[in-house]
Amino acid sequence: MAAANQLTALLNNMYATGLLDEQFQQLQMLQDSSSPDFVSEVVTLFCQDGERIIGELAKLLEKPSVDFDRVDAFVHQLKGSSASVGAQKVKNTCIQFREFCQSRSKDGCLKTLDSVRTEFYDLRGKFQTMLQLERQLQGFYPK
Amino acid sequence: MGDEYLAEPENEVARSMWPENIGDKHQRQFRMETFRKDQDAFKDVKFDEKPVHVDFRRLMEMANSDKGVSHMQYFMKHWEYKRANAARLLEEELGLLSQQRKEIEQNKQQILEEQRFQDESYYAVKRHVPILDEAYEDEWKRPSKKNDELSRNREPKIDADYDSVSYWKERAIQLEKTLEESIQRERSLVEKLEENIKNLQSHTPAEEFSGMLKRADYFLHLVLQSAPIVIAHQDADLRYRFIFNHYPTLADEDVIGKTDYEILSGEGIEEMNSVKREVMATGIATKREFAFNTPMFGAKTFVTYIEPVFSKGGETIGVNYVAMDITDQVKRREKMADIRVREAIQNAKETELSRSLHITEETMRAKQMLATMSHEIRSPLSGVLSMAEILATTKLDKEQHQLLEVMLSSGDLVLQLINDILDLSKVESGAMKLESTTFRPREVVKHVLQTAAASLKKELTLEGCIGDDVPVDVIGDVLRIRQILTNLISNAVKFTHEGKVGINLQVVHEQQPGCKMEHEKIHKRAYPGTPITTAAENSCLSPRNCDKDTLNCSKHEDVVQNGVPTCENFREDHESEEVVWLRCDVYDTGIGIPEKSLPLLFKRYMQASADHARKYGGTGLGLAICKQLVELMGGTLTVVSKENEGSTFTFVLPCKIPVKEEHSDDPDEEHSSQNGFTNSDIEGSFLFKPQMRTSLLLSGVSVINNSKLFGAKLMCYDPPDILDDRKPFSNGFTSKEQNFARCTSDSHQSNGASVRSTAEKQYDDGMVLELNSQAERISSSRGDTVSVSGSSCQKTGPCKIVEEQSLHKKSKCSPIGNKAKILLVEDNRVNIIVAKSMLEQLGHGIDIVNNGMQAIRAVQQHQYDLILMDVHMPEMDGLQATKHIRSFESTGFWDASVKPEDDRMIADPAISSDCTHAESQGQRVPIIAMTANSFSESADECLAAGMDSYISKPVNFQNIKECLQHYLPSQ
Repeated sequence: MAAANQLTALLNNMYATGLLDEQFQQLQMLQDSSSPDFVSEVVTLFCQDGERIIGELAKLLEKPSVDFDRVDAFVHQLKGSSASVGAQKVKNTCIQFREFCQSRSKDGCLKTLDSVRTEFYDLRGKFQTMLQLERQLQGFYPK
Repeated sequence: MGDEYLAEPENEVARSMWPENIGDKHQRQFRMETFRKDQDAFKDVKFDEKPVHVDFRRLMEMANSDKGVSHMQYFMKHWEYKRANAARLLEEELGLLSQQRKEIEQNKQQILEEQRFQDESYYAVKRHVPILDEAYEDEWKRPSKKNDELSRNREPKIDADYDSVSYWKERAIQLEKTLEESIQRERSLVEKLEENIKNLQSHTPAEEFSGMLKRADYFLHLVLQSAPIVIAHQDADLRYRFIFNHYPTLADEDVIGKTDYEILSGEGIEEMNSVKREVMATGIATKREFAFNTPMFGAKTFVTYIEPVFSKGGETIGVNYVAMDITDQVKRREKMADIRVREAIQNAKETELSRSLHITEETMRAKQMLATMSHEIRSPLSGVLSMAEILATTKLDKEQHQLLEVMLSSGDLVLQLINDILDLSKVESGAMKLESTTFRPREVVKHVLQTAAASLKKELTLEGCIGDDVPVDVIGDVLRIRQILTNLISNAVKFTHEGKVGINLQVVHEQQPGCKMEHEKIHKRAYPGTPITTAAENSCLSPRNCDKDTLNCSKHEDVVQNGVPTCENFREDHESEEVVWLRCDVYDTGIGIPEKSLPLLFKRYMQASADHARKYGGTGLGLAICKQLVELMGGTLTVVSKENEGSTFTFVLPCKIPVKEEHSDDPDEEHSSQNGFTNSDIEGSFLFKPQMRTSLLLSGVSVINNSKLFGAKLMCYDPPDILDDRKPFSNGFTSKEQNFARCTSDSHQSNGASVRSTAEKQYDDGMVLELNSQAERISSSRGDTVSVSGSSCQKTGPCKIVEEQSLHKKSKCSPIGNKAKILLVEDNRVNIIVAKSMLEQLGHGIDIVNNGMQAIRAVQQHQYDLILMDVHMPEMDGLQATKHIRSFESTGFWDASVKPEDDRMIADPAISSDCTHAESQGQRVPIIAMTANSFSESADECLAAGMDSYISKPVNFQNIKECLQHYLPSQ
């Protein structure tokens, strides 16, 4: 049951460092026998979406004249997703990001994009570890 | 060797000592050189001259046979030829001699004439010169002497003076001598001749023959000396009359005059003798191989040429045979054949192997392909189906509706098949993962029966019995267990036309080795209040189980054997945990399964018969999946069946018992506890009776709560039904005494068996639950959303209770009527999936759209009980969409910008009332905003736009539930 301990430790760490908030527990609650892979599905979706959005944001902010409305829409998306999975840090940075969008500050946007990216990839790495541990647990638990 | 002799036909002397019919081709090859007496070809060859037995009488007999006669004739001819030859030679000699004699005679005459002439001249001279007689004579004689060699040779010997008297005298003497010599020679020649003649006469044929025979004999000896051959002649009684045997095992005396049987014994003798007799009977020579195995010379194989011998009269007087030992050759031949056979087998094996390898690969590929295809098909198919379902909720005329029904049912069938295939390939590939969750077996059984009852289209009684000792909570893969149960039940229903279908759930006590359980403990844990006597009761029960089990075992030995190791494994894995073996019988009174079909039953794509497949449909995958799933869980699935009497499918599963009240992720369980369902409240028996065509499944449940107050042991719910003419109760809440009485009698009448078994098993806390099965209800699940929604207000109370009672979070498992239809308007995929999952867990049906415009379109087509609206969306935001909807609700008309494509729907008041749109026009559909609490999405704005409330994102279970409870009319 080393994997289980590892998983608990990892989750505790994620909560403690503020990467996750209690919304993630909602997800865990939603996972049951009728949708056994729910958390994994949501997390995977979140990771895919996030990656895509960050890519789009980077592209938009590279342009000489930035379409701040579009940037804002993407950030809104990311914020919504991260809020749903309980990715607290990413969500908070998204809020900052939107403020910069509102004030049309390209520099601010670029700066927050960097921190969003860092936070997102940090989270994604941890999520991946988590899913792997979960798979391991599922692998030998039922039999 | 023959050819060189052919060139000299004169030398052909002893040509046919060889049997004539040894083979025409070879006949001329066996020739013998004529040897002169001093020239014996065999003189260097050493023979073991053994005394040879010759049966002369037999020889005579043989000489009288055709062959013998021809031999004799040949000898005669040969002899005549030889004699003629000798006579010719003698004649020639005689001729020569007589010629010589003639010459001599001539000479003599000449000499005499000369003499006379000389005498005359002498006398003449004498007359003239008579004194010179002698000298003259000599002188005169001289020239004639030149011709006479004899006299000339002798001339020098005459030393007397020529022509003297003495000379002539001398000469006369000499001539006399010559004559004498000549006579002498002649005489000797005659003597020689005579001698020759005599000699010829003394050279009799017999002598010559014996010489020839001897030479032939020598030759044969030479040839046969080292040949592995037996040559023999046997008479008509198959007694040996002659034998040449290379193998000196037997002396001639041991053989001659005896039969094979007297000499030998063992294998092959009989065969050979019968062939010999056959040859004698038919008169046709034959060549055969005989394998002997005799004590005398062991196992040997001879190739034997057997020919009949005929007498002059054409009668068979015996056989000749030549046998050659070919044991080694046969051995070699057999070895070769063996090697060839092995080689052939090897080749065949190799080709077979490569073929099967190929087939296996193909099969694997095909399976993979099937799985992939199935998966690929499933997605678009579910798209088609869900669209069709949505279509079903729109306004359709009757015919369209029927068509759609067919479409949906066919689609469902395909989906089922594909799911089955995927399940199977999942199990087979080992990809199937089992979940471990805590669940309540009673509720599973109940719900499976409920679901079956809901879709029941026949007059069947569904019943369920759960043993007292079955733990309240066990750990296992509830989904899979449900799948198995549902499958078995639907099978049972499918093949049963009248009677009943039921489930028995019991705990098995040490049914199989390696699954010991401390059931006392289980009892205490599960039923703290239950007296210990249950154990005794159970032991009463178990013999029956055991009998059944042994029956199963014998019938499905392989199954049980397969099952046992898994059990052991299971035990090993979970030794620390308590394991209970649940035995579940699904029985029916259906058509049963013919004995011969039983072994095929669990095979893929197999059904009891093609007839059944035609009549009842189905893919033939269900049971295969069930079996695989059960085995995957470490259990066994068996069947006993009697044709026309019914079948019982039994599966035995190991389940863990939760050690303590762990946190369960099953919210329904919480509900049950919240509702005050303690362990003892869970029913041990259910009965779903036919013919009660009501929708009062729900009311019935609501009564449960009421009647619980009475603490009746047998609780009976008589669902009131306006539609049911048999039950004239209009309010549905009759007094319980009435209910009790009616139900008891009912169950006694209609289902004695179940009641009896209930009594036997003493399910004290059992209850009979009469619920209504209504075929129409299923269709309402899909097609009649509108009508269900329409009537939903009337069912408010029951809905909620059932909702809470339901073990199943999934909407499809729950009774249909309690489901609220919710529109979720959200553009963020992650948010959608989370919200959807939550709403589903709460048992609601949801439609999902991604922006305000789509939301309006959805509202134009369907009626929703509630809309969850995101605020910030592309195309049209939530605020705007809400404004449009509210505007429609108050005016009955859509704003031009969002007018539906099909005006008819709302233009026609009849239809719109039909669709309950008329109702909805006056009704405000609750719209709940989902706000992100950011500056652009203020709550005030939402409310101003006409929304009823808002929940802040991220949505969580609590706030969404509270919101729904508040705003859904049913709750």
